[in-house]
Amino acid sequence: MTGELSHVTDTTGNPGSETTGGSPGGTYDASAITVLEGLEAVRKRPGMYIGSTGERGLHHLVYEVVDNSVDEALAGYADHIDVTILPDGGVRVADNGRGIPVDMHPTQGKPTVEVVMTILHAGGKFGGSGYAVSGGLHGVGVSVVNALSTRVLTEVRREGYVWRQEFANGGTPVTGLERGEASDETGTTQTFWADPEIFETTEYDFETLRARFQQMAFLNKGLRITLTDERTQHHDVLADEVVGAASSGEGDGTPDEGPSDIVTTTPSGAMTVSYRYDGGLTDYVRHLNAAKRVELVNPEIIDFEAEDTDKRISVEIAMQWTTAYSESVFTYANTITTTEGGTHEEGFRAALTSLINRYAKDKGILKEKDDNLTGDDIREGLTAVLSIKLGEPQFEGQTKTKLGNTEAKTFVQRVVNEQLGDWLDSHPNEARDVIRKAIQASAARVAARKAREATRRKGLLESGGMPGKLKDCQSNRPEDCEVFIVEGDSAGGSAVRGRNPHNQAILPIRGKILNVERARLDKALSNQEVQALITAFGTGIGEDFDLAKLRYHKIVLMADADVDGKHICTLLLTLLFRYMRPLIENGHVFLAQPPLYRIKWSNADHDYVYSDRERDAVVADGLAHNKRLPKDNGIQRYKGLGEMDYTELWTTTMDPEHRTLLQVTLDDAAAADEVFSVLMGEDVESRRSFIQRNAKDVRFLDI
Amino acid sequence: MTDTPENDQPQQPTGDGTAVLHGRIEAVDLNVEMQRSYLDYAMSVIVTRALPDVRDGLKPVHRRVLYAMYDGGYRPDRGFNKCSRVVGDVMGKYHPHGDTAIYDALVRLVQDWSLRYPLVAGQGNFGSPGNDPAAAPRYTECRMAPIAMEMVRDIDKDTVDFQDNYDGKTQEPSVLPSRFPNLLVNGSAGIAVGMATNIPPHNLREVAEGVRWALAHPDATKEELLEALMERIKGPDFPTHATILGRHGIEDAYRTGRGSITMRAVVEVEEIQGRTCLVVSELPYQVNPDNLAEKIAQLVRENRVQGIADIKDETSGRTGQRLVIVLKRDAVAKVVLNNLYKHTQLQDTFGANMLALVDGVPRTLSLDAFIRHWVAHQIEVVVRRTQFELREAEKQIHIYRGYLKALDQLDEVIALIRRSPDADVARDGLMELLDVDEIQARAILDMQLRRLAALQRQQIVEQHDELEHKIKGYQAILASEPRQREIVQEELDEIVAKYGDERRTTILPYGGDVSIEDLIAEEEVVVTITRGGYAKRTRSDNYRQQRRGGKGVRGAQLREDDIVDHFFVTTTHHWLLFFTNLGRVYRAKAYELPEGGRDAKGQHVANLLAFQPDERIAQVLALPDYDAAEYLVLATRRGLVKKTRLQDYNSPRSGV
Repeated sequence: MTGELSHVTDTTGNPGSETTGGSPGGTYDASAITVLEGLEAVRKRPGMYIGSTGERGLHHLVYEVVDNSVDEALAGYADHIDVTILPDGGVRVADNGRGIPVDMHPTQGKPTVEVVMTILHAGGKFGGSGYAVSGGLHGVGVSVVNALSTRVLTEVRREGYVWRQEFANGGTPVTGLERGEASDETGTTQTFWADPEIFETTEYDFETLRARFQQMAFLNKGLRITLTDERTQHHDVLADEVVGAASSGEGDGTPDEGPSDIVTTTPSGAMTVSYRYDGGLTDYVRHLNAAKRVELVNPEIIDFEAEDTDKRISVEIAMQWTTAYSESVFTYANTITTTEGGTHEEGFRAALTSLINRYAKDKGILKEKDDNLTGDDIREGLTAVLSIKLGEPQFEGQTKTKLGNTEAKTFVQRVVNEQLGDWLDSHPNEARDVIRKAIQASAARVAARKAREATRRKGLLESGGMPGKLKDCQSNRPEDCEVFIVEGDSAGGSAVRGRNPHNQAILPIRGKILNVERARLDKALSNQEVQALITAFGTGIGEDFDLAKLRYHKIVLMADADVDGKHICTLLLTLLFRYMRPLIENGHVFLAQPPLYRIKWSNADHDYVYSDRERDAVVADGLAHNKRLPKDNGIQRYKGLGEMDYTELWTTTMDPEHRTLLQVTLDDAAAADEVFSVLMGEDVESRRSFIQRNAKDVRFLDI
Repeated sequence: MTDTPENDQPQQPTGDGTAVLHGRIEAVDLNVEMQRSYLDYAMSVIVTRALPDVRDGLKPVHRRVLYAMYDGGYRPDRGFNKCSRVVGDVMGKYHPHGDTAIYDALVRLVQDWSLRYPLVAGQGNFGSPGNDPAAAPRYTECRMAPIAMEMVRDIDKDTVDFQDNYDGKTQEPSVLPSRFPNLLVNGSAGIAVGMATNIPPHNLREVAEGVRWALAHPDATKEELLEALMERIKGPDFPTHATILGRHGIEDAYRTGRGSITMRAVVEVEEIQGRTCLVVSELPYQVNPDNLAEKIAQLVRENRVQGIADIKDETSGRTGQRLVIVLKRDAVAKVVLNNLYKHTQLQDTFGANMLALVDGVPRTLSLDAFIRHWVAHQIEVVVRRTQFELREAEKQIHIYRGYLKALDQLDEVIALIRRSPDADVARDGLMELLDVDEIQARAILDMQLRRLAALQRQQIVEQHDELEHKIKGYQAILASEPRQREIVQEELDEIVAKYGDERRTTILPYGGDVSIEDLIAEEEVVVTITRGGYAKRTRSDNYRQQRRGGKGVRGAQLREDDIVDHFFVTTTHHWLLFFTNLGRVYRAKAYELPEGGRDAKGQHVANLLAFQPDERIAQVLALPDYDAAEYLVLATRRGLVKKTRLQDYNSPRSGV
């Protein structure tokens, strides 16, 4: 049923008549109306025609009538539709189109108005000269409305007179078509009262209708739709027409017309609202983006349309990228919202994705070796409205809101490829911004995925998902636990054997970890050592950071006491500062202090000293107390932790009773930020001048 | 509970009874710790890792490798030894770092494409300039190259300072005598922290010539020396031959320590089996031929360089570098080559950054400073060697003086020894008898009886005289700086005579940058510009003549409602002037327009010219150059007319 397009006003006007706007050719008269079926079936199975007999079906009646008027508007004959909800439950829909033909129908022997109103699928055929595509719902026509109403008043202003006919009880003509007073206006006014015996409710919802008509106004540029609710009586505000500002108003970022803002009352007290958008979809997109209050990526809204008269298909698209993170793509087919998408949306997406990728690669914004941007990346922040109109829409899906016409896909795809391609070509700067935004989205997506993967716990067990090298401790009370991060497996072995397994965990890392100051988050997170650290700490990273999940309240950096060890310390601190700063702020980060020298007295216990000065003092003191140093190798300089026995490591560095820890404190985060940028960042010059300024402070130099 | 111990309390029991000991905890500010640690690391890398000493041109690892080889007896006159032995010696004695780092450094010293004068002779696979790595150190063998002996010559004569090694068990030299100017000759490259160095290699003969001038003119000013040196040292001399384009970069580098030197491969055009081929026989320094071939292949695949049919790497160790690029039949060899120069490492720059350690401080040096510091080092070496030899000679002559005294009173001496109950008495007696000191007395006692023979006695006298002569010579050297310089010169001359060779890299006069026009063949094109702003150029041979009844071919793919506004024939090298409706002029070369087929759409001019909103092309003019006519006459729709000198449009800006 849905394939049929039958509505009252047709493409052709009567050349001899006094219709406004004249005729583009062909004739619109009784001969144009075809008769298909009677109305009785409609009353028996209303669901087949209007979907349901609930609220949805009830509103559907209004849409059906309004759609006829919209079609007249699409053809260029009407520019105003006035919808009024009457206090007694009726609805009046008036347009200023050409009016339904009033002459006698050639085959039915009745006035054409009566044919249109009483015979199902009575409608105009599409002539080659009129509009090739039309809006219109399921195309069952106004006769269905008539069939489901207790009373219908049809008023046609045409050929210099006002014509009226009344129907009742499911579409039975009560009167013939009567010629009334003279009028030089044209148009059609339908007033109907839905049959309460068929519908579960006959209460119309103002908000539902309002939203629908606003959308219609967006989708049909230049068309004014006024909705008035005379059921309620207010007596405060004067009527005020709201015209969608094509050129002013919202362009400055003034907020959208929320319903409460613009619904006004007429002098008689009825609620009324009126929409007209000369920019059509462009206004729609502007309206949507104004509500989001986000920055625009391409200030000028991209809009284009195309029509294929042979295939009776046309499409209109408006789009704009914003800095928002979500996509807002709305698609319509014959002004019906297609929430489930369908072929037209598929075509749009496919073309957009391939086009942007191709453009980005062509222009070298995206390198050849880079992965393509995904559709999601490209559509991040995109606000787009796509409205397709086709001769024979096929709707699929649960709620019949998915377009199924395969030709729609190829058509949209072709149009987008051409037109958006043109836009990209002629707006290289904006195009670059759009692609840059997509690349950021892509990086963020990868980073987010990595972050999730890196920090995800893989099992329910305590050590589940922990890095393989981590030697965890027995205690699961974080406040007791310490984790020692040691440099290399050589030192790791000593540390593991020397530790107190009750509360001391060991995590060896290989050599120098990545400098996260000079790597993007995603690259940092793909680094194994960084992952191991994050997983071991258990807190997550960046935005997901949760201090409560910290598995060790002491994180001890235990690097070799040589300059490379110091470098590793700085690298680790960079990671902690940049991605897990609360660990430092809350005093969870410590530096171990392994001894620098062992003084091997031959007649006393060995001494361990932590600096050159201490060494000299201890040696002098020891000699004064008759201790003796062996001739050979009396003072051992520790080059690495791997050089120590595990017992030495325990007594000197790990044993809480003897060790010294340096707790890293953060006094001035802003200064620290700068220090990290200078020391670890990209700028070589500032680093060099830092070194030159401070070169005298060196405590010792590596051999 | 949050575990945040306070600073001065030595132990922090946790609140719940299970006492967790924390030991001593001291607070350290993140900023302070970061700066301190980083500075330690940075200074250490700068001073003792990545940068060469200006005197011997070696980084510590190289110095240790050479000294360990010298010390361990891996010398040119002995057989080869496994590299792993050398690496082990270096690591165990001097260099407490990773073995791979040491081996990599050693391998580089062997590679004759890395060092202009390799310091280590290798046996086995030491890799290739391409991506082949050296064999593992258990396979390869090495010994010092003969020239490396010049690096350590006289090191046993107290010519340089020694310092403790890392564990104090032994000593290592803090610098090598380096009897030839190794830093300039072999170059150096290293990345430290906040600074880096990149010194190109040079020809030994040229550098020696420079040194000769410096030695002959010790009082020359810095500028004079620099000028004299630049006259003698033509420029870098890379082990991989090839060419250097222009002297500009070289002069920058020599004067200021920084300069960018353009190197270009040597490419010949050959006819091989009827196909024109580009044959690359010499590559710029440090260009990896494998990566280069891969890069060219990639450019061909991406269509960024056209006209290449095939690439064949015919390199072998025996025939040398040979990369053959087979051209398509219609390709212009010169244009393809220029494109390759532009897009690949066939032309590359050497970013000279002449940084070296002077007294342990990094300094960017001009050419004269390198020579000056090396000469000063050589003078010191010669002086210290002479002092050492003088000391040795004096020790000897002291003994000979004792001998002479003993020979004078030979009989008394013999009698005294014979009657002495033991050696100590004999020694004391001799000291008294001959008025000699203990050392001399001991030497006399140690004398062999056969030296008392008349002939031997004569010899002792002669040796004494000879020593006396030597000592006079040494003293003369120490007293005379010109003499010291002379010695430096003589000894350098010996080295140059032995190891000097011809320059390898040719320095060509500067030919200017490859301009884009060199990369694009001049051909006749048809330019099409539509009202909508789509422009393209099409080779004119894409259009064919049609005879009667021809139905026409498509000239451009247009958007609906767009029409072709401008259509004319020009060549790729001509200028196009675009006059717009806003009264502005833009210019572009015809080749800048996107090339399209006959039925292509082209590209929007907004990509080419910075149009303002709503700006459109009103008129287009094609010019071979700005001398094509004297004046340009403009007329507007409203009838305003003006004339302008055509030359006035020759502005470097694209929009006028």
